[in-house]
Amino acid sequence: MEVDTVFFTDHSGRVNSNPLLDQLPSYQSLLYRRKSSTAGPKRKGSSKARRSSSGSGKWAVNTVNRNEEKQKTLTLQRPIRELAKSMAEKRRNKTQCLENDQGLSSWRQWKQNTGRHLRRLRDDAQEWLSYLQLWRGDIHLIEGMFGTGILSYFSFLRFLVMLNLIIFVLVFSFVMLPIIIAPHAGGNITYNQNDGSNCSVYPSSARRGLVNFHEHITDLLSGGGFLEQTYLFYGYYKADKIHFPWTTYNLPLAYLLATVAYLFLSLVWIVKRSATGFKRNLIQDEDRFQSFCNKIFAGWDFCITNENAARLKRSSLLYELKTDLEEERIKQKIADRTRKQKCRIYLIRFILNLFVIGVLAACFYSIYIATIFSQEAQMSTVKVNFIVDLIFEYLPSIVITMANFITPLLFSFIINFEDYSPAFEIRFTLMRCVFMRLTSIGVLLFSLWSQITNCEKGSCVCGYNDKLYSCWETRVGQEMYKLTIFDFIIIIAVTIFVEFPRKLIVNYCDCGLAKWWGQQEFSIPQNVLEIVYGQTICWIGTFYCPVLPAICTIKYFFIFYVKKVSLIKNCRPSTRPFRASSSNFFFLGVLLIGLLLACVPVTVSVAQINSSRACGPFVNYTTSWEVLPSTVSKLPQGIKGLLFALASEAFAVSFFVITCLAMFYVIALAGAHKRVINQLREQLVMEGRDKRFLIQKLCQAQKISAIRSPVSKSQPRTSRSSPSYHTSFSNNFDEAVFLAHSPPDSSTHV
Amino acid sequence: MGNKQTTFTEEQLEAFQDCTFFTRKEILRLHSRYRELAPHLVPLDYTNSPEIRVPLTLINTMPELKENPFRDRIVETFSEDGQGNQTFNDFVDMFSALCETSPRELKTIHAFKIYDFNRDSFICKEDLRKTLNKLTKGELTAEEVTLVCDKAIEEADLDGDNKLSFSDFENMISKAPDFLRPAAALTLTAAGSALITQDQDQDQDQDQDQDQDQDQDQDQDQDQDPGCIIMSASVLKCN
Repeated sequence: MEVDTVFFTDHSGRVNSNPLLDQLPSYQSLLYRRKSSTAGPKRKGSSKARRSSSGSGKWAVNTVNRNEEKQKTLTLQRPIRELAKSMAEKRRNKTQCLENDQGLSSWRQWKQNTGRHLRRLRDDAQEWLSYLQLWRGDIHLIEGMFGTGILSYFSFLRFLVMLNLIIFVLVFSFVMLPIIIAPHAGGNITYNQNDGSNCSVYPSSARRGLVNFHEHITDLLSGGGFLEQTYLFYGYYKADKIHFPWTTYNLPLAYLLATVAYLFLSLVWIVKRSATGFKRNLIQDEDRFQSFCNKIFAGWDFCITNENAARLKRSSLLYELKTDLEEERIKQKIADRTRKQKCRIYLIRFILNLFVIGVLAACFYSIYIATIFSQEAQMSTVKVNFIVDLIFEYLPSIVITMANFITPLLFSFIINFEDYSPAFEIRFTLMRCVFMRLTSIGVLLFSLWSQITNCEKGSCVCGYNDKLYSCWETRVGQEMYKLTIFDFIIIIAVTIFVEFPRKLIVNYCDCGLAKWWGQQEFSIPQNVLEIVYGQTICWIGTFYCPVLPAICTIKYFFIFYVKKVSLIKNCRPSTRPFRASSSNFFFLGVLLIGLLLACVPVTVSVAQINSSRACGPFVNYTTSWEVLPSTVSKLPQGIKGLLFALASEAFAVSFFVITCLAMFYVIALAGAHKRVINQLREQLVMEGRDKRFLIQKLCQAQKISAIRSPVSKSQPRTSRSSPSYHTSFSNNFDEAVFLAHSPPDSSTHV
Repeated sequence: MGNKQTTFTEEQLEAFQDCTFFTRKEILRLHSRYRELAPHLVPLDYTNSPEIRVPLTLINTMPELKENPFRDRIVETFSEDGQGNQTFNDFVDMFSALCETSPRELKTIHAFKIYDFNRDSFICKEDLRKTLNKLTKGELTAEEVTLVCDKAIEEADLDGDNKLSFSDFENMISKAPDFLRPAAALTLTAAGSALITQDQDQDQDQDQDQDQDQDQDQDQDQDQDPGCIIMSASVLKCN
């Protein structure tokens, strides 16, 4: 280690700090940190709350005093409890504040008192609101036991519950409520006319005669039978207009706009929530920026009180550090790769990616086949058996679930051969799994549509196959409903039939299987994908099945408790830590992908595919979207002109150009800031060197003057613990060289 | 009257409330926790501010600190004599600085002091080495330790003196997103301890929350649920 001539060591091995350094203004500011300008008026109006600085050094006192005056005029002071001093000093400060307060005029006092009361009111209100937060106690408990990674999963779940609830309230109040209250509020509903044409025949699917109990179960699970003609599905909303005494309510328009509104609301809410995470990610612009420092200084979770948890935390920190070191080594290795090795690696990667694509294609094809088979089985009148029927109905869901179960295992096995860095491996596998999950829904929908628009004799008269699918939206809604129910059943079944037995086996059985299998770890990425998958289905399905958000709310509500119990009873905390800071961003990012993916089918079906003639609110229109232009054409001229102008090409192009300009400006600004930061960083290095150089010179000068005049050196050590900052630093003034007794050097006097 | 507490005078309680982030209830609960550590040493009546110090070894038995690798340093940092023997003032100060509502700047200052083992106002390589060894309990090889310390200094040292001064440290912490999250570094809250829920008898005393003159009162305890094993319910604040 280099010998630093600035510092002296005594025999005990402790380095005594040079008191000069403690008197530097940058050091004094440790005590009185200037708060940013957004500080509220949290102040006790004190004109002199600041005590004198470190013991001696008049010049230091003067300079710091001057700085403090400047600071005080610029900003408001901090509350006493936020100062880094001991209790005794804080109390002294407070008594001084009190004394100073007496001297203020009554107007000021009144102002301060009101300010205080308002603040207190605001704090109480905030606290009261936080009590209303759902599951606060549970989540706190989980956080304490398992850390912040898993906490973020559960708070994400809570967010989805809230989101679904709000979506349901939105859809309910605009679509269902008018229909429900119409009879009570004197409204008159005009229904869509069955004009008797070919396409408008809608056979009732209610079961006739004596119905078996198990048929009720089938209906409940598949959304058919008695559930089909209910508020649950699109087909029930046949109302065209509702004439209230005071206004006419256009239900088709409301239905369409509610759809657009809930998609937009979800988008806004998710973006808002991810904005914080995104900002944080931007600050860490490099991949491995500060990772070691973070782990050493901010790595330990101070809330851990359990010995096991402490051991786990330690091993996870260890794992993280070792991973980082491994990353460094691999980076080195990658840089050292020869050309031949590179070619080999690229070839392997290419082959494996082809293999992955092949696997994905196979999965998608099997989903397609399963959907077609399931649809045909439902259409056929030959019913084999209750259970077999149910299986046929649920066949697409079963295939999707199995594919989603196998492919992650496959992907995590393959990635070992592709020789990426560990962090990239994790991310890449995750991306593949996300793609798999979300695209499988798309494939299901695509195969459904191919069935719906597939007519025997060439092109379809009504735009869809009306013989088999007289109300195709309800069918799609039923499929989404089935997916949701099946998802829920699978989650509960896996927990009960896989995780609990696993725990029992691992705990009580000492065989090789138990050792190899190991205890369950709560795998955050897979669980998050599960619920994002469910949420995507909900977004797609709400257009066809307006009650689906409510079902999803209840589903997530129960999933929370199921997962929580499973976590506490079955799982041990993961040895591979999941970064909490980036996890929120990851969750919301995946959710956003799901939302964007959900918009595509909804948009296509609204705008492209002809709406059913036999059911639903859009009977009188060709496509669902058409209700909007037809409503706009009935508006008064002024508004119509405005709306047409907004939708015209001229407006769109100019809007696009302006947005591009704004984006370029912001990017340029960011680049300029980066340059400035780099310059400042270099400047800081220079300043540090300057400081050390000057202090060295100063110490040399002091030594020389001390040697020359030994008398003046014997200074009292009385003020050894300076009153203003009682810290451990002050204990080291054993051999202080107090500058008060040599004239201040103008070069160091600020 | 049985409702009045006799541990502190009103002025003392007010002073505590102003100088820490705790409410009256929490301060009294802290006092009972403090007393639990050394019942024969700590009197029940603190109205005349006795100068009692509880030694480091006893404070380290607290469940909140027991598993913390930096417990010695934490207690030393917040003790007047620098050896870890804490008066009640120090005790309250320590938990106040580490609770959830204390601001980031305060925590950064104290974190710096905690990690500065040799108290030279710099975190040098030796300090880093000790920190790392406490964190990993010697599971890393010496070579790995050196490598990690070098990398850490490389990442955070701005002024190029191969040590971390406070401004280096502060700059680094401001970019460490995990630092301030509840249940992250330097925050003592949340679950695990079963010792702490039993202070029901203290609850009756402080039902009226008197309006303070200089209040920054943030009355946020959640002691409603006796079965709840969240530590902050009885000792510290919880958001």
